[in-house]
Amino acid sequence: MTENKGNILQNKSSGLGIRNKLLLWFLIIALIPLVVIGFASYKLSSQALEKQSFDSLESTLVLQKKSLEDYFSERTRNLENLAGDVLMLQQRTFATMAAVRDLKKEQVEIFLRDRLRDVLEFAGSPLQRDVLTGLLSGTSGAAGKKYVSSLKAWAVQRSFSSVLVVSPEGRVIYSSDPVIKKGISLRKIKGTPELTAFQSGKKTATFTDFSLSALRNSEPAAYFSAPVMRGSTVLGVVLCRLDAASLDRIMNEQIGLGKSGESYLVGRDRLFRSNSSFYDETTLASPAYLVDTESVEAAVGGQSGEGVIINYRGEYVLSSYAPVKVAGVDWALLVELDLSVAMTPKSKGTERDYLAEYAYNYGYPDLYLLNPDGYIYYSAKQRADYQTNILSGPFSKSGFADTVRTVLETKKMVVSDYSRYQAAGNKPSAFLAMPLVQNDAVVMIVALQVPIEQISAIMQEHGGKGDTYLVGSDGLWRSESLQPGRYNVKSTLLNEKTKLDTEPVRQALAGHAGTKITVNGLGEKVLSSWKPFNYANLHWAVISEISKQKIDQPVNRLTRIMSMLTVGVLLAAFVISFLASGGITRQIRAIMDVITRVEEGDYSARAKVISSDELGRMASSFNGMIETTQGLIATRQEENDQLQESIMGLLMEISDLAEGDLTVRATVREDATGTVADSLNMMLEELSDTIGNIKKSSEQVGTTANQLSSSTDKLAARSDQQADLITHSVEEIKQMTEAIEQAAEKANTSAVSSEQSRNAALEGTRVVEETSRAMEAIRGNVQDTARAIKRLGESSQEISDFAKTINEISDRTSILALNASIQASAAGEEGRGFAVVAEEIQRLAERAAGSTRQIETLIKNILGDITEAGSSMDASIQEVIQGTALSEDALIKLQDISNRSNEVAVLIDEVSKATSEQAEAAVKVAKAMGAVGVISTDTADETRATSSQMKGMASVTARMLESVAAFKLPQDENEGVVADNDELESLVVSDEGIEG
Amino acid sequence: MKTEHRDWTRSDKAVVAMSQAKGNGGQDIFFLFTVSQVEEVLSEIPVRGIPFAPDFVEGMCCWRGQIVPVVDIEKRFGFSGREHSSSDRYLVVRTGAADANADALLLHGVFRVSGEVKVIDAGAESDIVFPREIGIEPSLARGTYQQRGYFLIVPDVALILQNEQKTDIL
Repeated sequence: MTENKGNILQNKSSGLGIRNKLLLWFLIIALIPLVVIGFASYKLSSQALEKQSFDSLESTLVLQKKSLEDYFSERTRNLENLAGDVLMLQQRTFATMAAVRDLKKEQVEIFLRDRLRDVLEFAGSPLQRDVLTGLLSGTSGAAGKKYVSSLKAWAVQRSFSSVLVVSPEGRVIYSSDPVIKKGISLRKIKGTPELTAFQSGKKTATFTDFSLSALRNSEPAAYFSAPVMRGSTVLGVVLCRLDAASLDRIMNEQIGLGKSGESYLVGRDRLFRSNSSFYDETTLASPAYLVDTESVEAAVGGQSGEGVIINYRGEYVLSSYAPVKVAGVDWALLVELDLSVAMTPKSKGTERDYLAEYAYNYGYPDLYLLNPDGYIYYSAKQRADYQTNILSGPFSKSGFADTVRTVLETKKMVVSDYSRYQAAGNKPSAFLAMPLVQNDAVVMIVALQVPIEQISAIMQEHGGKGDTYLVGSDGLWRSESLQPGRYNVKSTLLNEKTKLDTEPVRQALAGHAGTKITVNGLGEKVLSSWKPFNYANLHWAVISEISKQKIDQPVNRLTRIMSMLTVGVLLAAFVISFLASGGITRQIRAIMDVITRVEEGDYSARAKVISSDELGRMASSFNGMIETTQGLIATRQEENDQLQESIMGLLMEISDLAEGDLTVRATVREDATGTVADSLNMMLEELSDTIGNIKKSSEQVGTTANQLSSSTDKLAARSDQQADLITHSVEEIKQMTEAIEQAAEKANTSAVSSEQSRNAALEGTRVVEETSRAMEAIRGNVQDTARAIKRLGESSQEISDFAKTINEISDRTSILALNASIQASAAGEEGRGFAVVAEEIQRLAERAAGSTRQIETLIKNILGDITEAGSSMDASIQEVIQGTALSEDALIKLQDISNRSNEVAVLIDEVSKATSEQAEAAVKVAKAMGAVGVISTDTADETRATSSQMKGMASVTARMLESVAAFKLPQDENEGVVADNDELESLVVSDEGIEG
Repeated sequence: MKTEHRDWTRSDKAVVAMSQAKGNGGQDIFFLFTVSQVEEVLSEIPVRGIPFAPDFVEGMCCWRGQIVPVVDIEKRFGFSGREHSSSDRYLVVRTGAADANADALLLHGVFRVSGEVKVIDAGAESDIVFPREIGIEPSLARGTYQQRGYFLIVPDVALILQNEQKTDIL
């Protein structure tokens, strides 16, 4: 009763009441649709907003990428146009310079040609001859003196600085030169231009090029000189000194060259032939000014042309050059113009030049023109890098320098990535550079700096709500962020602090485009869209992103509204559910009270019927059920008392069973114990049978143990026999060992024989070596013979040549005889005697021709024989060489045999050793067999011990039979206990028998 | 008809030049000159070519200080040309008589022949044949004969050289 009470209390306390359950279910039913609708609207609106944002981001990205591509394409086109302009400027300048050069060349040539003609006319005039004769003899007279006085004027009119008239001996007989006085001998000082002019002028009209004259205080002088002749006699030499100022005047005319241009003359010795307008001192023929430029090299080599070079002042210039070869003059004419001035024309009234204006209009921070060697000869801004060499100068390790290098390597337009450029105030700078290529060679590079502000402006143009930016392959920003303050920096451009390694950056740099919710550089959750941007050498990532928080704002508002609605609905549902469940549970509670009392054993309790619905009907049925249960409990008590009595009777009947009496049987009644008694009787029957069987089996085991014991004895005897056999085997192994020792001795004998055969092989080697030497000697002899035959052939050829000569002589003799014959015949009767002689000569010539033909035939035969002999000698040499090779081969083989003999000897020695080891092993085997014999004896002893153990087992079996005999079996009652005792004794007797 | 023809030479001797050319029937051909016609026989002579000259005119050469034309006589008679060889001979011939008319500016010429040149007795008998039988232009030969199976052609030296001198050569 107490347990029941506990269960009821437990049931009451555990689980919810129906009212509570109903309340709970009502609330759940009200909540589920609300939650489902709320979740669905949140999810759908969130997805719609995300999709809209992604679409917006992607379109922004496409727009900006397109804008960026357009920007770079436009910049490239600009640069191409600019390059075209620059090339056109260069060509125009070259054309102008070539025109100026040709004009000046013509002027110089006409000038020099006229001077030569003047000198020739002067030297060739009869008046001059007369005057000179007079001067020489000192009797020139009044006319002569007058002529002499007009000479100075003549010289000045013809651009000669002075005139010298020199006697054939080299003495100055007339001089208009204030430095060189009349009467001095030019031969006095060697190497002067005056002496050279005199010496060469004595022979013909000559030009003597400028050189420093020791006679004229080391001033440069050049002369036109010519001889004054009377007939073939040289009366004297006229030396006219060239006026250098005249050449300077031609050169210094600056038409078409501007202020920075110049033109000058250079000799083959690379010294000036005119004065440079850039130096105050005299450069003419001055060794201090060496003009060894590419243009001079080309012009002196006879070529005309134009090019960009470094001039004698170390400046980059456009140079136009041509050779001047006239009247014995061999010079180079050069017209040069400063490169930066030539390439950048400036319109009148403008502040900037053409290129600077261009850069200003397009907003380029700087614009450059570079020589292919890297020299920046033009810069619109003229910053620190202007007039430096970008490849080797102070900025050679900049991104700009790398760009120029790439342009020179690829000969193509290159766009460099942004990097900090020191010359631009360490600001991030990118460059667009384009080469001008002519004849597959870069002649100039046009470069411009791309303003980063324009790139950033493009990025911010279509930004919308989000942020769009560019990232380089190094993860650094290539555009300015809209809000750099968010990154705690002033500028995000190339800023290491804002280096990005986000998924969009990695993906875009790897060449993939995509859209995803991810985390940006600030660790914020963002919607990000990205694309790779590739233009020429640029590989950037364009990324457009918008904060997830911004997108989620409307959704979050919706969520808040939904939550409030849910709470209100829940409260309303609770109140309604509470009221409804109260009405339902009153009848249930009345039933529950009655059930509790019944559980406590109070079967008199009845439930009050309150409602007329299913619960009311259930209360009245429950009252009926309690009454039925009361009747059933009284009937069951009587049946229990009867069963108790039957069980007691059965226990009394089977009490003897405990003493091992298996003959007892229980009485089978009709009540519930009847079945138990029947089953017990059947079990006792089966137990009796089993114990009987155990008895029989024990007897059989005893018998078998006895039989096994006798078998083991036999096994012991066999083991003894085995030991005897092993002893016999040991004897035989000893005999085998002796035989192996004999074999070892024979192997030693074989080693001696092998040594003998090795000696024989060595002897053979020596003989073959001698043969080989003999063959070598034969080869020498045969080659000598071949040479002798060749010499014979050459001699025969010489004889053949002689025969040809004889043939020619006989041919000519024949013609001679023929002509003589004709002449004789023409002479008629007078020539008859001569005709006879001619005929005789003819016959002689014919015979000589016949003999020569025979000699030729003979020599041809001899030459044939010699060729044959030569071939057979060659064959002999080949055979001798083959013989030598064979004997060398034989020698190698004999040496091989000798080596093999050595190896055989070693092998035989090893066999001998192995045989000895075998003999030792056989002895060991014999010992081992002996040990096996001992083991066999031990086995026999062990077998005997086993036999005695088997006997022990038989006695154990006898003891087991004794134990089983304690049970009283039904068959024992029939046969009597005596039989059991006999069996036991027989086993004991048998045991004794074995022992005996 | 056998006839003894001795009228084509003024002496008993004649100069005969063998030719590599063959007649229509494969007969050997000889050019025959009188001794007085032949000035000299040469084995070689330097010849300078003349632009736009006929095929048979080999050029000009200088012989004893005179400029004389060199004519391949075989080609002149219409026989096929052949390469020069060491057995070639050059015959310096007179154009004719000393009484040449005023137009005869040229007194000598050189004929190139491809075979041996010999002085023979001019007394052998021969038959007259028509130039067409040999296959040559009749006007260029003063006579054509057959003797022991070969043809003899007596070239009209004056006609060949004068003609050339006036029309084709100069």
